Amino acid sequence: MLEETITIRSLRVEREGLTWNKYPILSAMESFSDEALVERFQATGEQRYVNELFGRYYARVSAWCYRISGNRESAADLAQEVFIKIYRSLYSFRGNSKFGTWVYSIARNHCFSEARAKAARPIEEGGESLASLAATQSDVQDSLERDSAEKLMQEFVHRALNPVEKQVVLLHYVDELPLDTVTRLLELKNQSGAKAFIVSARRKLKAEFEKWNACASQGGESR
Amino acid sequence: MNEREIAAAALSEGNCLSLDDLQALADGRTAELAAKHVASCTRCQTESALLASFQNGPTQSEQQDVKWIETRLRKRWGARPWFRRPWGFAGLVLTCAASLVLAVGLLRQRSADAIPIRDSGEIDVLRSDAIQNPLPAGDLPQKPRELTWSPVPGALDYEVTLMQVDRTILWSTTVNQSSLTLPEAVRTRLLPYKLIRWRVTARDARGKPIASSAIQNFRFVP
Repeated sequence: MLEETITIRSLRVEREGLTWNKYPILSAMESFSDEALVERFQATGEQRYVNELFGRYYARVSAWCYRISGNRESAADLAQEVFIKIYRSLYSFRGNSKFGTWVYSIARNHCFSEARAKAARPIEEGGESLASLAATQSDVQDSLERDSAEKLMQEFVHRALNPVEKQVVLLHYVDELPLDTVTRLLELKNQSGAKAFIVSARRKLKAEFEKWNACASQGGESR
Repeated sequence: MNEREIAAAALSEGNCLSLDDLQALADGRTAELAAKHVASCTRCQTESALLASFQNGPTQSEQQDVKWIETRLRKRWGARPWFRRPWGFAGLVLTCAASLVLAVGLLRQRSADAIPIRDSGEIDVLRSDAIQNPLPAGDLPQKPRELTWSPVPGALDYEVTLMQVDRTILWSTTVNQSSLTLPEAVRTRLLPYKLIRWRVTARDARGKPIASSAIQNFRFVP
């Protein structure tokens, strides 16, 4: 069991009297791991362990919420909700994962839900949606089993898209995050942010579909 | 197939890693098989990148806004000022009185151990317990080879501890000089963008800690 020690930081002896540089403090708190602090809190219910723990994560959770929401007022509300959720779940933390990863999973899931709830369905500004690229090829849909269609799509995506385009497509279409949120999360520095990557991804996938369809119509698969 | 299904099918290899596995990969604690999966799976790459960006905290451009948010959080979390709690002013008086008693008691104990003022009138100053100039700190263009700090008078040796961001100990050693060359096995675990915390504690001939540095942070940013 970890022992707490009260450490007197320093003492300066002067002719005139005694001056304390610092008051006696609990120096061991800093050296406790996150998991040890949680264990201590679960055993004693003492708020100071939570205060130390949360103090370590204010910056990270705040930054995460700021990237999701894009403005600091909303981010402060989001972050508070995250910490309330963490506080309420502290007794259920069993140490099966690292505390930081656990905090991240709560922050991620809460913020993603909020972002999805606030955003309208992704509006396609010009160009075709991913679904329409496949839907217009109705003969493709009819003739292929679902597994084959998925495998084909995988092939197109991996062949045509670069890593950033793939990540943007994933976060926007699968996780349903607004494009401005995706831009901040992936720290995209280009002028149009994630939107440019979506447009580029759609164009490339369309080209792949058309190439494949042309080959399929001629009785072969494109390579 | 709707677009969500299309994208989900196309961008995942299946058998994706959990967040814990991704964190273990980031810490260098996992098998090659996991690394191989992540290399070909967009879902895992994305989650891994997001996890790393969370653990690394605010970027330079976000610092100001994040500080503002943090201040609001701290205010809200401790929204009820302590002096407005039920025991109020009376509690304030009691706390001050108790602190005074404690301070006097500790003072008397400490003064018994204090270095006496010399007859010549020279004043002895008890050494500060903060080790100065611990380096490296901050973002580094390459993995550090060495840790250094100002020597402490009276120190026989120094205990150096490297920790991960959650203060889990990564590595610890003892040296008898005010610098330390990092072994290659340790340098291998200094992954890009991974925040490393470290501190050094000076000990006297009896093994008693006499000074320590503040916890320093650094990370390798290629």
